[in-house]
Amino acid sequence: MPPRSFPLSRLVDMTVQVVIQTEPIDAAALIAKATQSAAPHNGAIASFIGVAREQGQTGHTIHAITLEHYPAMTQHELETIAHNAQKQWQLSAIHIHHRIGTIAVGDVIVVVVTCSPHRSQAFDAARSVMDWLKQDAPFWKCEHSNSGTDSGTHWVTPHRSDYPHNS
Amino acid sequence: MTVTILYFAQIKEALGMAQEVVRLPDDIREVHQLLTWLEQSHDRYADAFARCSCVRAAINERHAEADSVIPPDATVALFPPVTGG
Repeated sequence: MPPRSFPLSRLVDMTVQVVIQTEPIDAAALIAKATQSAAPHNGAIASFIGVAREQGQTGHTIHAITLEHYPAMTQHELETIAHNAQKQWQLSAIHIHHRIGTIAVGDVIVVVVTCSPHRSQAFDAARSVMDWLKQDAPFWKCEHSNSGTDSGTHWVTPHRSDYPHNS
Repeated sequence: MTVTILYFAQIKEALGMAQEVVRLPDDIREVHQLLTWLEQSHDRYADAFARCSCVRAAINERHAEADSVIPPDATVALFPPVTGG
């Protein structure tokens, strides 16, 4: 009996996942799930985890951020990014989860998991996916602070490094 | 023609509204013309757009450029540079 084969196109469709969620993200569970989704084909798994930090953009202490997004556009943009990355680096799996709504300091904002037969593709894909996401995915961060004279809200502006292809 | 305009983040906050339906003059066809027309229609638009380093746009849920043509009955989103991730 010949060994079973799995067409790559079918495998890709089953292993590209984009989720936008208000609930907290369990990064470890997500990495395990992404890894499992293409287990026999993986030789390398890279992950990026973005976390809400305490120091705000202007140096003041914040206690939370709010992520606003454009619902009708965000899912499509992230799916386009995921499929472009899968195609460019021949990934065995790519999962992107992004949080929206109010996020406490220390909580996970975004997780990108890239699975590939070899490490260079997994590393390169994870980095580029985050670059593309920061350039094109319609999310906006607003920082919340309640410390002294800095109390209030501050809309985050992009760093120049968020636009590597334009710098 | 009539278009629906959506506003996000600090632009939405400054204008105090998330969307509106407007009837455009016949000579307003491209994104940059729409921005100028809004700014000239009322100071509050100029003030809102000035809060951003630049105003980006999407037409029918796809990114658009300054010279992108706005089709009839389009949904045009206007927003600051994105800051996800």
